[in-house]
Amino acid sequence: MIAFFQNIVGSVLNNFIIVIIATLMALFIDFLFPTFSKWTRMFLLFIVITIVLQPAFEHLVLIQKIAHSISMTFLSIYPVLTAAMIASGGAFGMLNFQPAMLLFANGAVFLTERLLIPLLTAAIVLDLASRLLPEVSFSKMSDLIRTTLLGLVSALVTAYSIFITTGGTMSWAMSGFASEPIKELVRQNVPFIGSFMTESLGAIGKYSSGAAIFAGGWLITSIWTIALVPTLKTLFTAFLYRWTAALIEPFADEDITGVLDDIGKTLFVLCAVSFLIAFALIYTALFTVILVKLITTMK
Amino acid sequence: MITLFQVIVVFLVLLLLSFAAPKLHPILYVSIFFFFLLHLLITVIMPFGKTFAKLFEPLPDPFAKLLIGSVLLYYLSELIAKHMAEAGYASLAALSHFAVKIAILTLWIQQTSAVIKLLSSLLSK
Repeated sequence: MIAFFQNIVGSVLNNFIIVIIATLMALFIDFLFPTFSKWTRMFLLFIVITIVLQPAFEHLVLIQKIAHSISMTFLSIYPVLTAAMIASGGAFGMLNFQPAMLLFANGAVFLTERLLIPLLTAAIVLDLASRLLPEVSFSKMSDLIRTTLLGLVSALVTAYSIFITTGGTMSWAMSGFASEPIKELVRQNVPFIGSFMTESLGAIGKYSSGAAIFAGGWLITSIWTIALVPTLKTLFTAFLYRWTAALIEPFADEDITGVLDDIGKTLFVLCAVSFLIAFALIYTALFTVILVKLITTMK
Repeated sequence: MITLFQVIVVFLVLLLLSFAAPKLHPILYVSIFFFFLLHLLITVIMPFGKTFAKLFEPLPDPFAKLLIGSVLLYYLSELIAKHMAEAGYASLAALSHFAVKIAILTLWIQQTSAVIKLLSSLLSK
């Protein structure tokens, strides 16, 4: 886990140090050649776009790829799963699974791949455009896109939790008191999507704690880890962007910090979007595990 | 400090020339100006540019050098253009400045195309 974080920090932090050095250089050049300052700003933006935004773009492409491959996997695996459900017959009735949930998970991933991620890309491009040309500002538009996406994702997650809780026997409440301070911490400190994260993690946690009876705690933990690694990575990168923006604000141009801040915000939304994928993966994996267990124990 | 002293000497020489040979003054001014510019370029600006480039070596490769080079080019061209404008050839000055601007943009074309490629790779998916 530590190596994993070091890996991210190393690759991303390098770029941020480059930003800081570049802003210093721009300061020097502005002092020496004040007539060139407009263009220095432009070239600095260039440097920022080509070098610093690389991790953000990589994340976007990564999540897109994951969404694509998972939706492909779902397409191939769901007929088998459904067939197994029918074959297991009555055993499933007592578990009160929602078969519609599978369809829903697939739909969510499909939606993510086809609609949410392209919209996020549009938000990034609009941000860049409005920073490059402040006269033609699209910042309201990209803000609108971000909030809309966040609302959409929250609605989808709520729908997930409805499905899960109407599953009845599968859900039992986690001991609420133990996790409350952590929830509060996350809610306060993760900007933009903090409360969303706690809510959705609570919903999926409720489900998997029920499933832990069948599948065993370690298996659940490993499924969670695998599903949440891209999300965590994105979250961490988003934080790094905002930290850098805060760090260079005193001596950098407002545009540069603004770009970094906006990209950080967009990455937070991307993190929320990738939650959808993670949920679908967790749900399907647990479902498969339980199904296999049931089939093997019934015989 | 030495440079400042040199500038004062050049200034005095120019003033003397304007008394001694007022008819020849413009052409002598221009020649001394360019001579002094070359001198400064060799003794001050170039070494400083090199140390500046070395200072910002950690920046990824073409950017620091490109930025310093284009800034210096722009500054020189602005100086020369101003000089021409003082001599009364303002339109020629504008023309030369424009040409240098285009040259600077050509230096940056590769980087620009990289940015455009990056953005369009995001969009095409």
